[in-house]
Amino acid sequence: MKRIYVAIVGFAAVLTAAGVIVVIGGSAIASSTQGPPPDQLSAARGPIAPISGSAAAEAARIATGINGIANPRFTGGTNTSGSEVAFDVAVPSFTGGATAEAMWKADIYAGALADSLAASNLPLLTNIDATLVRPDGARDDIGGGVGNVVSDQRFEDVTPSVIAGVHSRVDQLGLGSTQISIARGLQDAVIVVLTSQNPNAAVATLRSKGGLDWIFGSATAYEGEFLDVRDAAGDIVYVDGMASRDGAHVMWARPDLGIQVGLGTPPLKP
Amino acid sequence: MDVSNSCVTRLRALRSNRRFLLLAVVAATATALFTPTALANDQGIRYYSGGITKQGVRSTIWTPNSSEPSIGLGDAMFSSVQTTDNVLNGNMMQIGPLYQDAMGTSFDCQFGNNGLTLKIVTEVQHNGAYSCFDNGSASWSTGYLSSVVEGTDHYWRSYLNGAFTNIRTQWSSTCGNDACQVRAMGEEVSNVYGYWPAKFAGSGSTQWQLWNGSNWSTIGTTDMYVAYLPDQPSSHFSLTGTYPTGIWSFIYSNP
Repeated sequence: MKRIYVAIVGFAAVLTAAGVIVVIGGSAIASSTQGPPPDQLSAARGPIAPISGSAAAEAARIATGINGIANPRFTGGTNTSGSEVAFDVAVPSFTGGATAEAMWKADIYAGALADSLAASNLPLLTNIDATLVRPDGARDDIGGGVGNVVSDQRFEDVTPSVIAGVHSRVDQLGLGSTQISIARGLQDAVIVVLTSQNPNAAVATLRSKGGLDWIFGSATAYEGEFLDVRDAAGDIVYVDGMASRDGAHVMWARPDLGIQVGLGTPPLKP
Repeated sequence: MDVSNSCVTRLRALRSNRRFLLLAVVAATATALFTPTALANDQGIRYYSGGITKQGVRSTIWTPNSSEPSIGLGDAMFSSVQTTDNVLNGNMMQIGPLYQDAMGTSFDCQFGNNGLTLKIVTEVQHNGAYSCFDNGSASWSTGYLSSVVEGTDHYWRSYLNGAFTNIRTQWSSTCGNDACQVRAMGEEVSNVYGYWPAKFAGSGSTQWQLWNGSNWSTIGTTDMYVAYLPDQPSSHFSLTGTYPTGIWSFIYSNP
């Protein structure tokens, strides 16, 4: 049965960053000159410890928690104000799946560093410059970003029982073998890699269950949540990664899956 | 051994192979061109692909009156301006208001299962992978100047009301660092019941404009096209309004 939502005539409720419901008249037409208020994706907010050393040391420290992130350096931003950080992300290739995984790592890194700088009253992080680096040394600069989210989001801690619960939920489906690992920004982010003999069916099953929401209880419960489905050869088939501290979400699906994971970009001629 | 028969056989085989190759090329091209369309969401698109250097696109995008839209469970409606190098290369950047009933994480611009939301989002595609950023909560009946611009450093950046969103990307592909096409579009994700007017421009606001690296100029009708996906009459989008001076809208209507 389809549930249908119809917005209330004349008024709309908008949840602000502070959690306050603001009622806005719906009949007036106005051109906005200000940016929208930031969103809060976490269930809670809480203080973030200010940096005890230099910003560069903090950038290096956070990089150690995310496998593949290396060589962080603050660089002179162009065209915009604020801090610019550049860093490398090791990838096996420049394919869509490998790029999506690297994007998610870059988002975890950017979100953690942005909030850490904000908590220390240092110039806000406004420019992200992630470069994919293949084993042969080839480089692909993908940029990056920081979403408009509040800078003191507090996520749930990843405890052994959380990991056991994720294992249990995924394993009960009998889709393949599951490996779980942790990346750390300011808090833990959970990485689930499912290797399956029938990855297309595994993806369909996981999506029908609700994807990250089902695997983790909520797609925004933890600082980062990442699902990587691989075929028996170890090739990436599907990627779904939330980086809530950064206000970012990454997805990629192998084309033969026949599913749309991004807003459409069909080819048009001429 | 019958040489002549062998030659004929080989010639037939060659012709057959050529036919096969031709068919394969046609099939591959058709697959490349139309498979994404088959997978694509319902869309109404105005696009420019002429010879002027394409280093940016912008327009005022209006969110509808709160009483206008209706949306089905888990669906999403989007209005955006977009630049793309060439879709088959998998590089793109777009910004605009997104109205959704978030359920699960079935596509990249969902940020948790948090019911009905109206946000501004920036979506980036690089090497075919999608990354979407939450630019904050939006208001109804409001015009947002939405821009995607390539800087002199060749980074593509999205801007909202003239302010950098802190999101950028880069590509070097078919059209170099520039875009091959710029677009303004309305989109509906699940092809189900709903109503969404993607409104652009209008008197006193910024028209749909192209940045050539030096100046903004309103995009004329030469080399400007309108497309629907899936093709009309199957698409639930229609185009209304006067281009370029009035408010013009791609309206999704699926009763």
